Amino acid sequence: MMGRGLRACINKEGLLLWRDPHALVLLFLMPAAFILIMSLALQEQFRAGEGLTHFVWVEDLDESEGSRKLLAYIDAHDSFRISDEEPGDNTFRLRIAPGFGASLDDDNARPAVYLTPGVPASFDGQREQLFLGALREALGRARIEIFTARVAPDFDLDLATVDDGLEVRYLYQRDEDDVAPSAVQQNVPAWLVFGAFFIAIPLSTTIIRERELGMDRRLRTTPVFQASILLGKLLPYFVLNQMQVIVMLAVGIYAVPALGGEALQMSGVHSGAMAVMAAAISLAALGYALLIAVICRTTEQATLLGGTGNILLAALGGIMVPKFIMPPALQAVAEVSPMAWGLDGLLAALLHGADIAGVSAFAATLASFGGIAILLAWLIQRQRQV
Amino acid sequence: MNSPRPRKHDMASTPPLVQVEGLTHRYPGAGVDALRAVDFRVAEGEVHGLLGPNGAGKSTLLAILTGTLRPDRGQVRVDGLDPRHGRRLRGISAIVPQEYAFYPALSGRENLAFFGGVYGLPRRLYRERLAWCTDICQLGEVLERPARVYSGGLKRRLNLAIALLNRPRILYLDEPTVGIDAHSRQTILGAIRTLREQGTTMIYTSHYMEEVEAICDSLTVINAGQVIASGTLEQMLGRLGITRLYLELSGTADKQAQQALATWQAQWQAPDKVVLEAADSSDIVRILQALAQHGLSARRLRYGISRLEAVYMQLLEDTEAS
Repeated sequence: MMGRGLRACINKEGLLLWRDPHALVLLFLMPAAFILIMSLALQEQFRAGEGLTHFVWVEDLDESEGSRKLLAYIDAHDSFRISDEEPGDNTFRLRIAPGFGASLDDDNARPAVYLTPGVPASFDGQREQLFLGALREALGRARIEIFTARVAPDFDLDLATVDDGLEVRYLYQRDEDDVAPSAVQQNVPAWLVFGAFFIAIPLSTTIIRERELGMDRRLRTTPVFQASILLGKLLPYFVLNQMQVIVMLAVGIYAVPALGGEALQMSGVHSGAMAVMAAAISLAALGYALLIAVICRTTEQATLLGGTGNILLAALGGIMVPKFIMPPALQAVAEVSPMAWGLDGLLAALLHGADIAGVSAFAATLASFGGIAILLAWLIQRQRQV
Repeated sequence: MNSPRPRKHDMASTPPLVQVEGLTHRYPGAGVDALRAVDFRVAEGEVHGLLGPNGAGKSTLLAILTGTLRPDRGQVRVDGLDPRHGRRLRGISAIVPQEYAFYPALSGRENLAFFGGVYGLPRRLYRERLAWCTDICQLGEVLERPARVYSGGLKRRLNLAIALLNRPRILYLDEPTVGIDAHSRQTILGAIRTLREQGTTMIYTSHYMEEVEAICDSLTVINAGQVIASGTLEQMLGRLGITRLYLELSGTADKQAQQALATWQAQWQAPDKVVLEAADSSDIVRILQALAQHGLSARRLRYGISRLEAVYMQLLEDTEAS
């Protein structure tokens, strides 16, 4: 009986899902679109150690060795390139005044360069300060070189190739194999978690619609086990969540790079850890959906609560704005969102190559949340039925 | 398919299949009882009508009988079992709810297949039952269509077919013919008659008194949660001590003809239309003979129709008055 009843419930739920194109669009296209848009929009923001390359258009009225050295040092900078092309929106304009080269060798003179006609309007003050800093650094290096040539003509000094001896390590890197948190590496797990929790809307509205139709009352007069009805409803959505995971990872691996973004790196990612996290996220989402279904009386209420609840959990949980750029107080609040647990677990697997043991704490928290929510929903429903 | 069960004719000697004693229930937050000390019995093979105005407590009673609601007090036994704990009982009973309790997005066949699984029917038995219930409910031609495009009548028939799939020994019908066309109504009533002949015990609620009178063996009338009358159909009809005969005459009745019919408390609605009180068939024969003596005959004759409605209305009026 359990077998036949369960099979019938699963088949029915699968058919109902398949015939609800709006739900499928919501569950697959919406998170995929978010992954594409946010990964492409934020990819520059996530490039650690790199920034945008700015071009510098130069009017060299001096054409001295000093001005050439200055320009060489600017060109060697990570963020600036000397360009001969017509200046555009991304271009600083630099004029080197006559006598600039001679002034470098004169301790009392102040070498003159001009930003002309000024800083492009599209640049903010930080970029201007960055350029001025690069300019000062280039000027200093050019002066050292000229001074060295004067006092030690035989010493071959090329400051452009000198190693500054600075080793940069990022806090997210626990070991050298850790992947940098690129835009796609942050956005795929983030929107995947968000999409998984969106099953709350179709699942809760289906349950409420059944209640309105009198289906739950009718089913309780049949010999089928209540557990079969519940499992038959949850299992198809669990499978749907797993399909979402596969599709969203595929979007990160194939679709984002096809549109000019970085590909999601899966090398070194522990598939078992990903599977455990996917299952735990789904369990939490299913519990959340059931709770909404028993709390809400109408499908309209469920859609509203499911939608706004998801957005709130996402905003809190670092889905929309990464947690590491939140102020510490908000980061602490973020820890109450199940989406944060899901995202942290997936990031552990994707960025740090965590294995099953490495994600088990996140998975256990999610599973506990899901289990408690299901139990609570069951108790509320039971109380209503008597 | 299960073989048809013989209809039980001697219901008085049959132990009750459904036994309700002192049933009382009040919904949380409500000021009055939805049911108060309700008693009744239904014998196996009997079709029992549950009558009452809207809000009388019929649906509450059905919910308790089907085990979906726990009563505050009283005892319910269906085939000796408490419906709330009788999984075996759910295997031999089914309900046709007032709502269209199926999935509009699924076809008729898919809905039936789902319930076949829920009832735990093995594949072969399911196929037999499917053929039987789609035949009895005349659904064969529309089985592949999504249920949402069904007419109201087809939806009611699908609602019934789903319940019949379980081939129930006891069937609860909650207003199964409300708001549908004549063809679908006749199909459903035909199905119920067939089930009756096969010995299915039925508890039937309806506001259509002709249906109840035509189908039910016994009745319980509820008002404001209390049983105001209960008994066999004959006992209920006998409460007013009259039966009514509606006659449309072949011509206009003259004064003498009218005087001749006065013996039967004639109420003239028109010179050729009269309502008479005829206690039994011998009375009807005498009335027709009296008409013939005055050169008249009956062009249309209705007897027994709406008799129950008169009894029912009288019962409600008496209750209100008391």
